[in-house]
Amino acid sequence: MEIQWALIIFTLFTAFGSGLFAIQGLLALLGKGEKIQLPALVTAFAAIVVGGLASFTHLQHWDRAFNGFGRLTSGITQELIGIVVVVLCMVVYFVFLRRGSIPKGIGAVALVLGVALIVVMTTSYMMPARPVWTTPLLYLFYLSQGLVAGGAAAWIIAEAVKEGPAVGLGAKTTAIGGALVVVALVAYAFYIASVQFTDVGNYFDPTQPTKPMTDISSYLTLLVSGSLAPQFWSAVVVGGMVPAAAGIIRWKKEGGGLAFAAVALVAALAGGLAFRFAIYVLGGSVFIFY
Amino acid sequence: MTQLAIVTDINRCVGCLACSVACKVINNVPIGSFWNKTLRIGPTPTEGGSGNWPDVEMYFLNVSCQHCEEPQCVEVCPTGASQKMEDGTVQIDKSKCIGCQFCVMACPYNVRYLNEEERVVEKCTLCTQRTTEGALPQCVSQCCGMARWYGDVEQGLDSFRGPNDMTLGEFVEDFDEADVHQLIDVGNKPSYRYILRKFRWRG
Repeated sequence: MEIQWALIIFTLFTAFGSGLFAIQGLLALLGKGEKIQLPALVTAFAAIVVGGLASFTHLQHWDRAFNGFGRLTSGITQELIGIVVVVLCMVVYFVFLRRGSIPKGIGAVALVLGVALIVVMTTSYMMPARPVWTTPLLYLFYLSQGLVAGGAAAWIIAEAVKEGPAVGLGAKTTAIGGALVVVALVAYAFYIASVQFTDVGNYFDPTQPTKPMTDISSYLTLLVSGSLAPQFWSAVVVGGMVPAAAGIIRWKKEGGGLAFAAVALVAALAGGLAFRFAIYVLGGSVFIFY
Repeated sequence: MTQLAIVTDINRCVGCLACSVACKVINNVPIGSFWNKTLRIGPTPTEGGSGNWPDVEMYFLNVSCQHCEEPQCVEVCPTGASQKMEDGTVQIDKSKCIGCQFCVMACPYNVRYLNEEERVVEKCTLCTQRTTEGALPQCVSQCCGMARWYGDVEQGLDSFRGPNDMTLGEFVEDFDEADVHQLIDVGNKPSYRYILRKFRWRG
């Protein structure tokens, strides 16, 4: 289907911001990383704002959004509610931060809400009409991607402010998140082989006489070995393996520092972008011939 | 309950595209966009045949909004612009559409599109501007093969009306339940029916 860049940026930055907010909540819950809390909160807030604004630009008539917006079965409505709740929690978080420290309960709420927003965001793409998207593996990918990008961002901040325990947790979450991205994407490669589309065999669309037929049997191989393979495998290697390796090196205290953390974040975001691009291109409707 | 729909007797369709053209004219559908399309399915070798003509099957399949019983496009619409009406049709209130295109993504048949000029989503309305005055949808009234029929699924397929004041039950050749097909259903329950005898239904 047609690439919706605004929605790709939205899901990328929402996963990133939510992941970082969840990780800083985890740090608060563990009573660690006080020095990274404020910069992490600002970064997470900025990421969610960037994602939200990108989503906003996708609307053709945003001026009509106030003309009946709010059907609860809509993924967009659910995402908006999720973002508002997370931002309100960030405000509360900020207030406690200014007062001195984050109570463990608030840290736990941030952790839960950060994860929940990624789940809500993913749910809005669960459409039976788009079988390539509609799989639990998409939840695993978006959550892993939030974990690796959020972890790498927390790691960068911790390195910059020299907050030892937060460096450790940031590197660990980056490593685990990167490994989970690889698992999710390799599983996706197997899942794609089982996706069912309507296959009418030989056909012709008189409104597009020069357009070749969509061959269903080869359509699904595009991701792993066809024209989308560069994006898919770069998502595996750059978006998963590189951050995982950087995180493991730091975790084992064998080296790495701010530069490794920065590489991990850039790689995580680039890989996330590549995979989102690929599944948008591949996200045809179950009846693909119209 | 009323569920307005169109039944197409595929064995009668000659693939003349009159339905598609008539629809574009009466509904002012933008160039490059369509409210219905007629796809040629096949030629496909007949199972157990020689693999050569005449052992081949081919038919024409008209695809448009299926005015589903449980339309996913309505569920995902954040503003209520896409609505399931009392007559069973799915309509878009353009004044509420914000152009988010989630309905386009949620449609299994890909029949919705963004009108670039108005910046809202459009699709087949089942010619509500005509049917409310007692006329047939334009694609039905212009069908020279008498293949398309309009009516209420709840009243039975035989009651569907076509040109010349005929009903489907009076006019078309006999068919049984196994000859009545629908496009793929992923939980949306399409309302349109396709009658295909003798050939294998391919979707």
